[in-house]
Amino acid sequence: MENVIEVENLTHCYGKRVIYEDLNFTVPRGSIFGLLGKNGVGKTTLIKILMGFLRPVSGRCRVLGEASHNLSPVARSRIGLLFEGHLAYEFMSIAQIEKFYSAHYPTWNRDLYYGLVDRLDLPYDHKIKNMSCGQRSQVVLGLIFAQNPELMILDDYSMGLDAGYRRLFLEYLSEYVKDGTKTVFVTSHIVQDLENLVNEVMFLDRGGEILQTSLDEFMTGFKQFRFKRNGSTNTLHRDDVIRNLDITGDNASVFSFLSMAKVGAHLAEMGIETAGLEQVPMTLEDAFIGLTGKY
Amino acid sequence: MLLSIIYKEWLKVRLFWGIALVLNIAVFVYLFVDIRHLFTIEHAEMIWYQAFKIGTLHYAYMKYLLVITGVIIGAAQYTPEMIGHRFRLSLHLPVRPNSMVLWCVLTGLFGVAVIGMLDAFMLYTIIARFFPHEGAESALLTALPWFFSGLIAYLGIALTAMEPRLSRKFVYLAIAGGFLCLFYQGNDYETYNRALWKPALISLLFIPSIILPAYRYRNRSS
Amino acid sequence: MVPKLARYALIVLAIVVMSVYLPFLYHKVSEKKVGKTQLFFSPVIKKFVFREMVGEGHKFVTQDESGNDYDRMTFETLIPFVYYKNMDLWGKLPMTIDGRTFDKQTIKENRQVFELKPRMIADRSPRIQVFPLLESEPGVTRLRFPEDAFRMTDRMEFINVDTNTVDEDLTGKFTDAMKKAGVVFPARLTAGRVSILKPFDEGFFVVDVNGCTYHVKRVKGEPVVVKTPIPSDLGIRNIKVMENKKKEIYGMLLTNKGDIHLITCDDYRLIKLPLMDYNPDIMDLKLLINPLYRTAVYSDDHTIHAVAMDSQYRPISRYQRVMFSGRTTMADTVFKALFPFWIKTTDKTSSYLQFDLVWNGWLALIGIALSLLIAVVIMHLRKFRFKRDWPDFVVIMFTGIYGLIAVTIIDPEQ
Repeated sequence: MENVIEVENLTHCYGKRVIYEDLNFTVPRGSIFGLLGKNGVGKTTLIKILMGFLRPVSGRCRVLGEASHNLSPVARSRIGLLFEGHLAYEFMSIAQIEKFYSAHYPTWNRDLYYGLVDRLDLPYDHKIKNMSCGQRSQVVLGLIFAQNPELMILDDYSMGLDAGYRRLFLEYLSEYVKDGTKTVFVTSHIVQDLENLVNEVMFLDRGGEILQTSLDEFMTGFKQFRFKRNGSTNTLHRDDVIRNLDITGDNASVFSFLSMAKVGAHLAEMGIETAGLEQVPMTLEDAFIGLTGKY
Repeated sequence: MLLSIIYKEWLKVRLFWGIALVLNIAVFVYLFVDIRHLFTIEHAEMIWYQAFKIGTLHYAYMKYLLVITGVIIGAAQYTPEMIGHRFRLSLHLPVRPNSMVLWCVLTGLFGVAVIGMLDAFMLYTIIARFFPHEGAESALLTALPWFFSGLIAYLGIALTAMEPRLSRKFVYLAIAGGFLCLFYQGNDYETYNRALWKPALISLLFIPSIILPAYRYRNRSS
Repeated sequence: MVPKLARYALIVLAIVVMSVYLPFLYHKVSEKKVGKTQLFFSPVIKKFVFREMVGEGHKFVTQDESGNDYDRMTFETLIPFVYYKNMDLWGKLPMTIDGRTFDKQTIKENRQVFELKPRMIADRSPRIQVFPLLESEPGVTRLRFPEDAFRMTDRMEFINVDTNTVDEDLTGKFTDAMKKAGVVFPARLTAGRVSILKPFDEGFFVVDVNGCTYHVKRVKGEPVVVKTPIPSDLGIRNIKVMENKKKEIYGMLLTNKGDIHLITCDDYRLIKLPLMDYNPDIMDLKLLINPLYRTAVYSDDHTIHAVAMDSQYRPISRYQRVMFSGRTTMADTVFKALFPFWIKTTDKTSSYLQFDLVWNGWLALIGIALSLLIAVVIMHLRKFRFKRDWPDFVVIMFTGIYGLIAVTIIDPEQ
C-alpha cells in the first residue's frame, strides 16, 4: 500500500531538549491515523515539520511523495490542514473566508462549508474574531471539508469544542472517509473520540519513543490485569513484560502485551502474590493511560 | 488565486487604509487653511520671496506623512498574520510562497503609492492655488523623496514583521531606517533633483529582499 | 536560490546604508576644528601675509610668504586697510603708504569685497525661476518688493502675486521693450540679486537664446532695457550681480571656461581677472579691493591661491600654499585604510545632493585584507561551507569592512 506520509530517521530538538531521535513511521493511504501522546511530547511540532513550517535537525519527511519542507502548491492543495487552536483569519467574515479559500481549490464544495456553518445560525457577515472557540472551529472545519483534500491533517481538532460539536464533526469526518481513498492524520487530547474513528494509532512518548500499530491490534493485544494489593506489590516494577503498573486503593494493575498466563507466571517469578488475578476490559483512553502513564 | 491574495490583503488593510487616507487628506486640508491664513496676514510678495529665495517650505510638515502612512498600512497588513503565527495559514495556501509574499507586499505598496499620488495631487493643487506653477512643480520635486521614504517605511515594516528572530528584526529595522533617512538629507527645495534616482533605484532591492524573512519564517528550527 | 539572492539584496542595502553613515560617524568622531587660512597682500611690505590655524584650540601662526613670524598687532598693521578700525583705535590714522596718505574715511569708501562661492553659481543650486523686478527709483530710501514677479518664457511674463495670474499689460509692456532692445526669447540666464536689504537696485541681467546679454530695470514703472556690449560668444555660465555702493562694478561674470570677468559700470566693459588654476566648481573666490590694490584669493579645501593686482587689475604678485587644514592627517589615512569607498551625499560646493561613490584608493587594501582575515575566523566559528559561502568573501573583497559587517549580521541560512 502506498504511503501518504513517510518519516525516516527524524531527529529534532529545541536547544538541548531532544524531542525525537530517529523517529520512523509511515501513514498508508486510506488510513485514519491517530497520533497520541501526552502534552509536550511534540505532536504539534511533528505536524509543523510535516507541513514545512519547521526544519528538523535531521531526517527525511515526505508528504504525498514530496519533501515536507518544500511542498509544491499542488501538493498543498491536496492537503487540508487544521492548525492547533483552529487558527483562522480573524479579520474575515463567514462569507469572506469562503470566498477567499474557494479561489484556491479547484474541487471546492461550497455546500459542504455552508452545511456546517449554517448550523451556527450566524449572519454571513459575522466576523470570525467575534466568534466563540466552538463557532470558529465549525468554520475552520467547514473550510477543510469544502477543500475536499486527499490528506487531512488535524492538530487537536477537539480543542475548545463541546460535546455536540465534537460529535457533529466526527459524523462529517466519517462521511468524508467513507470511500476509503482519503487519509486522515489526527491528534486529539480526547482519546475516546478516536476509538471509533481511527484504524491506526501511534503513541508518542517523551524522548521520541513510539509505538505504531493498528487500533484493533492494540486494543486486543494490550491488556490490563488486576489483583489484590498486598505487601509484595511494593516490589513491582516495569520491565519487558510489564509495560506499566498502577497501584490504587486495594487494587494493583499491570499492563502488558502478553497473555494472562505469561504475565501471571512472570509475576510469580518476581515473587508477587497475584490473588484474584483477572483481565480488565479497557477503553482506548484506559489503554492510552495504561501505556503512557497518568502523568 | 493572486486576486484572492489581493482580496485578503485588502480586507486586512481597508479600514486602516481609510484611516491613513483620512489622515492624509486632513493634513492637506490643514495645509490649505494654513497657507490661506498666511496669505491673509502677510503680503503675498513677501511669502513668495520667502518661498523662492529664502527657501521656506510651507508644506514641510507633510515630510513624514507618508512614512506614517507606510507604517500604518504595513502594521495593518502584517500584525494579523503574525499574531498566533497565522502567517502559516497563508504559507499553506496552494501558491508558491515567494510569489504569495511578493503579492502581499505589492498590494501594500500599491496602497501606500495610491495615497502618495493623491498627496502629490493635493500638494500640487494647493501650492498652485497660491504660487505660480513653478512653485507647485518645485514642491512636487521637493516632496518626491518623502514619497519614497513612505514606500521604504512600508517595506521596512514588512521585513521586520515577517522575520522570526528578534535580533534580526533589529537589523532590518536599522537598514530600513537608515535607508529611509537618505531621503531626508536636504533642507532646501529640489535638492534631490539630480541624485534621487540613485537611492530610489537601489531601494527597489527592498522588494525582493522580503523573500528572505519569509523564507526564514518557513524554515525555522524552533 | 531565491532566498540566497534575497539575502544578497539585503546585504547590498546594508552596505549602501553603512557606506553613508559609517564614514559620516567617523568624521563626527575624528574631525577637528580647522579654520581656513586667511591670506592678504600687505601694501606695507608688498608681500603676502597670512594667518593660519595650526593646532587645536586657538593655535595660530601669523606669517608672511617668506616665513617671517609676526605678533598679532604687527600683523594687523601690515594690512591696515583690513584692520583700519584697529589702526584708528591705536591712533595710527591717517597713515602714509608709498607717499599717499589715507584717513579712515578714504579707506572705508574705497574698500570693496566681492565673493563667489560654488553654491552661488546658478547651475550648482536649485532656484525657482520666478523673480521680483524691483522699482529702481522708488523715490524713497527703502526698497520694497513689487506686487508682481516675472518668469522668462517666450516673453517676460509678470504674475500678480495677489491673484496669482498673469498681468497681461505689464507683460506686454516689458516684452515689447525687451524685443525692441533685441532680446530673442527664451532666456538662457536670468541673474539678479533678490533682496530689499541692499542700497539700491540694478535690476536683472538677462542672457538671451543667442548669448547676448541685456540689462533690464524697472524705472518709475517703465521698462529700461539695455543691450550690453558683452560678446555673445563668451559662453556665460553665471552672473553675480553686486549692487555695491561704489557703483564701479555691476557684478562678476563666470564663463563656461572658468574665467572671471568683472562687469564694470563703465558701459559694461569687461575686466578679466588674471586667475591661475581657478576652478569655480570647488573654489571659493574673494576679491578684496582697497585704495591701493586688488587681491583675488581663491581656495579649495587643500590649497589657497592669491593674486595681487594694481588698480588696473594687472598682476603684481602671486602666491599659493597648501593650507594646514589641507594637510593629510592620521585620521584621514586611517579613514582611507578602513573604508574602501564611501557614499558622499552632501557637498558644501552645491545645494544639490549627490549620492556619489567616492573611492579611497589603494590604502583600502589594508582594511579589506583585515576584513577578510576576520571573516575567515568568524566563518570558521560558524562552520563555513565554501560551496555555499564563497560569494560572501567576494562581497568583502570589494566592500571591506561594510561587507564584513553585512555578511556577519545577515548570516547565511543553514
